Parts: sequence; C-alpha cells; structure tokens
Amino acid sequence: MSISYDDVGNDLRRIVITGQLDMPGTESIASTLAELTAAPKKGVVVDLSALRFLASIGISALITSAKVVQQRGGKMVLVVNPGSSVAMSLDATGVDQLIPIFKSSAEAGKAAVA
Amino acid sequence: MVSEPSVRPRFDELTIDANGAEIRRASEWVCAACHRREVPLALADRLVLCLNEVLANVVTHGGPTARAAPIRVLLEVGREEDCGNASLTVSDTGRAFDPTSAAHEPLPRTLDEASPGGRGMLIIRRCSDWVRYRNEGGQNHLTFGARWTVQPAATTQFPRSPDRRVANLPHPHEQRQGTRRGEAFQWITLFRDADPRELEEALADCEVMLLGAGAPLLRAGEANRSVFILLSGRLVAQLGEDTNADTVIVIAPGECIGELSAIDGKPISALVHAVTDVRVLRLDREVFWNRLMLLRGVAANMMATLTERMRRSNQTALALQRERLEFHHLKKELEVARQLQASMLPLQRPLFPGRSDIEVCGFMEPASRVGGDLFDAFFVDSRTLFVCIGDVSGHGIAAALFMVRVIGLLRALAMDTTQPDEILQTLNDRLCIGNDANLFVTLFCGFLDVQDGRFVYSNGGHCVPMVCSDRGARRLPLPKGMLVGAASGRRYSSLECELAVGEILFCYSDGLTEAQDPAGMQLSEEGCIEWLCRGDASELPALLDSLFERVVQHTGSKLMSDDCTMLAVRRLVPGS
Repeated sequence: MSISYDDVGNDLRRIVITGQLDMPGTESIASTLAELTAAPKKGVVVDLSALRFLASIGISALITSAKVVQQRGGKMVLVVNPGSSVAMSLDATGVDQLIPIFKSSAEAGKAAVA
Repeated sequence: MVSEPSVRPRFDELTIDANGAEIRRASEWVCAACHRREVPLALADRLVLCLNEVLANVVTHGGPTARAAPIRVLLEVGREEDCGNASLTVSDTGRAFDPTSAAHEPLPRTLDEASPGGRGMLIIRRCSDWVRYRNEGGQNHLTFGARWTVQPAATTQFPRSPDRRVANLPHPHEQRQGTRRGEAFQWITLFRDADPRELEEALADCEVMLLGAGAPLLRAGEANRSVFILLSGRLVAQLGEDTNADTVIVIAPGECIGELSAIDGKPISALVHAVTDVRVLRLDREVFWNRLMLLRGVAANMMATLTERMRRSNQTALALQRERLEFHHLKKELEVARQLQASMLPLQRPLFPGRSDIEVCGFMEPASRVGGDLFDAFFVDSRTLFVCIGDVSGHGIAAALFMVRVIGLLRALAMDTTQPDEILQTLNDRLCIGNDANLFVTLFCGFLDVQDGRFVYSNGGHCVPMVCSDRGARRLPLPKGMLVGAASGRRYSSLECELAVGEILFCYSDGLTEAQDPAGMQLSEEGCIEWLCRGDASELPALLDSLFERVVQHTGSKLMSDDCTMLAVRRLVPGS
C-alpha cells in the first residue's frame, strides 16, 4: 500500500495510489488522501493504474475527495487501466459517470486543468 | 510423495475472524482456490470483489454477535459440459440482515448528488450472476456466484439450424454462440430434476436467441406464445411507464420469463429488455405444456418458482407501503429537527441589547429545510466576545446533526481557552473521531476584546471576513488552515488585528457571495462590500436585512440554492 504525490506547476497535483483499496488499505491512506486533495490546486489527478483492487470503501474515499475538490472550484479525475478489476468496480457503481476517467496520465492531467 | 487426488472435494472452506485484515486473507484464499479450480481470472476477480463487500458489511454492520463467532466462507465450483459456475457462501452470526431486500436506489448523475458511501450492495448485485439469502439456525447465509461458458465441445448434440434472429446481431462472431451445440440445460432450476436425455429430446426443437444490450425481448400488451429462460447476461422487466427502480425487476440467468401469459393466454404485462448482451432459450407454449411439463420435477419446480415470485412481490408491496409510512414520519421528524437546529443558533436581534459597547447581529436563510451553516457569538468573560461562523459540507439531516455537534463542541472549547487556533485544533481532532459520513466544516472563529478592540482569530478553510467602515472595506488577512473534520492531527495558527470603534467585522458564508443571478453571475465580494460601505450608518439588523434583499434582487428568487449566513460585529463608543 502506498500513496505519493508530485505537483506539476502551480495548478496540478498528481497522486499515485498503489496496492489495494480494501478495508485495511483504505483505512491506512484515507487521511493522507484527504489532506493531499484538500490543497488549493486547480486540478487533481488520482492515478489508480497501479492499484490492484478497489472496494466500495475505497470508492467512498475517492468520492469524498472529488467532492472536496469540486467544492473549492477544482476538478479531480482518475487514471485507470481499461479492463482491470479497478475499472470493473468503478463501472459497477456508476462512478465513471461522476468522476472523469482516463487511460493515460497525460490525458488526465490535461483534462484536470482544462 | 503423495500425488494430488484426482477427485477434489466439492467445497473449499475457510473460517475467518470479523476484521479488515481477515477480509484480505479471505480474498487471497479465494483467489488461490479459484486458480486451483481453473475458474477464469476475470470471474474470480468479480467474486473477490463481491466477497469483500459482503464481509465488510458483516464487519461493519453485523454488531457484536458477528464478532462472537468466526465467519465461514465456502467456495463451490461446479462444471457442466460447456459451462462452469462458481459460488461463494458467507455464513455469519451477525445481526439478521437480508441484503437482497435492499431498495434499488437510482444512481446519482452528478457529483453533487452523490453521497460518498453505500455502494457495496451495488457491487454485489452487479458483479455476480445471482445472489441468494437465507437465515437459518440463527445465522445469515448469503450465496452469490457467477457462471462462465467454455468453448463448445466437438460433439454436436443439437444439429439444429442457427437462431433466426442472428441476422440482427452486430457482430458476426456472436452467431456461433447462437447455436446450441453441446449446451446442457440441467443447471436451470426448472429442469434440475429432469432426466438429461429426456430433457435433451424435449428441447430439441427449441432455439437459443441472442439479443444485444438494450434490445427488447417482450413488449407490454403483445400477445405471447412462448416461455423464455435466460441463459446468460441480464434482463430487466419494467412494469410501469417510468424507469423508477421500484418498478423494475432484474431477471437473473436460469429464471423464466413469459410463463404467466403462457399460462393464461393474456397479453404480456411488462416490457422486458436486455441490459447486457443476453442468450435466451425460447420454448414454444405447446412444447412447454405438452412436453416439458411431463418431465420429472418440472411442474413442481415451476410451481415453486411461481410461489416464490408471488411471495417476493408481496414482500415488495409491503416494504413499499412501510417505506411510505416511514417517509411521512421522517418528514415530521425533519421539521422538528429544523426547529431544534434553528433554536441552537443565536437568532435574537440584536444579540446583546443590554450592552452599550458592542453591537452584534446574525442572519441565516437556509437553502433546504435543514441547513448546514452555523454561527455563534457569546461572551466568555465580561469583555471577551467569542464569535464563529461555519459551513458544513452537504445538506440534509446528516449535515444538520454534524452542525449541532460542531456548535456543542465549540461552546465547550471556547470556555477552556482563548486561543482560537487551539480551539480549531481540538475541534478538528474531536470531529475526526467517528466521522463515518465523511462530513467536514469550514470554520472561522476568534476572540474580540470589546474594550481595546484586539481581535485574535483563526481560520479553517472558511471564506475571508471583511472589516468595513465609512472609509471603505478591507479583507482580513487569513492564517493558513485546512477545513475542519477532514483529517486529524492538523495544526492551525492565529493572527491578530485591531477593530476600531465604528468598524464592522463582517463574516459570511459563501452562499452570500456565490449567489447567482439567472445568467450565472455571482454577487461576489465586491458586490457585498459596496453595499456594506453604503449602509454603514444603519443599525446592524437593518443592514443585514437590506443586504439579503440585495441577494434576492440579484438571484430573482427568495429560495436560496445554498445556505446564506451572515454575522456582523461593531464596536460602539459606550454611552454614545
């Protein structure tokens, strides 16, 4: 389980989460994710392409962050590998309708600050 | 060395304790067992995802009895000639709970509408092909599973022509799946007791239809001469005109469709359409009555299915009725909650009529009936006034309860210390405990010495207060501070300024400055400043009322889209 980030210029923050967002995994990173997404950046990319597993508790943490970002006028997007188990979780819960999802980090970055 | 037995036991079984780490152990165990039993990887992924949700449910909502005994997980893998199925049964001693009875809520369309939690059941429902629940021997037993098809075997058991409808299919490769070479139907509940050879003969003339996602199978009002059995994919039956979740029934593989109209000859009562690509076995009414019903067990299974369906629809009707009653009751409770909430805020105007050295006035216009904004002002000693204003994320009852918690904690904390940063720090840590709804609050607070005008303040993500006088307005410089309740262990800092006699400290929530006119233009800070400086001479209640009128004029409506809250403080010359 790991969560890391880097800031690209003033407007964009990239957060990379690896491992599994199941119950123990989400509990270990939830507060860091909330902190990282609370920074006053215009765009936030959360890269899940190296995440192996996403349960509803992890989805709940992502939605909370996306709402925080949106409430301060920013935009949060996700990077997900199509066809992965993570993509399946997002699709089954309709989250792909709520938070924009991209295949590549580059596309996601562009959309987040657009 | 002992070689692996050629016949494996039917079940794999694991017992775990009810906690998060054990859920992960169970997931890894299922992965390994599925691999050993050659369950396709994608399908194993789906099962593990569902298992996680089911176990998380037990751990979170099962109560103390769930933790009293281990949870049992049972994996069962079955195989027919050209298809396989894998199912998991989770048995626990937690509070009796039937997740399959949960209401189908419509999915939110925007992030604003979406609540963070509550997606577990959706995952279970969408990622498994069937879910069944029973409560037996004081235990919950939830079984869910999925099936897959193996590439057709070389033998041809049904040398019939391919389905006539395949011409409509978008992809020619699907045509192959339209034939029924080597397909066994014994897994279908209706046929489970029938003799395989007799079943094969009876079904010899029946076709397998393919429908693409979105295509209708039956339309309400049409005459129907067939009974259909869903083989794979998912169908829904829609009873009413609207696509409301209450009137939509999901049909799982193995279930029958159209048997009622085939029994009584009346037209179809529901629109049935495919939500994924589906394969459906079509049985002609004559074949159904004259051949299939004569097979062993089919009639009894049919009756059992119909009875079960009747029971299910009775339950749905009762649940719906109960929900309506509860809804009326809740509406009343909400009204009481709103009154209680309003009574917690100091809405008297002006606030301290007995004091000649200070004038304080609040204002609040909630957007929904139960709002999330708050403000407070009270003296902690004869010369120190505590003021605060905040905005809880979200609306509705959860936000209101959170707000009440914030107000209560603030009142207690402000009595202990006059350091506003310390208050926010402690408040933040306290709110983070047990914050299951993931709510947070933006909060500005400070202590004003009404005699010398020294104002010490701290901020947690709230919008900038202003200081106004006849000489103009300035924004208060803000110390850095994150919104409160989102992450524990945050530090806050405080700043200090002087509020001169006659100056107004004006705090507000973003519902004021972000109020939009029909064209989407916000009222903005500048718009407010202009108004405040102009009305500087008037008394505070009149000033706030006139500013709100300005908002109404700007938006063109008395109904606010967000809570609009203001708090104004002005130092006076005693005796003047």
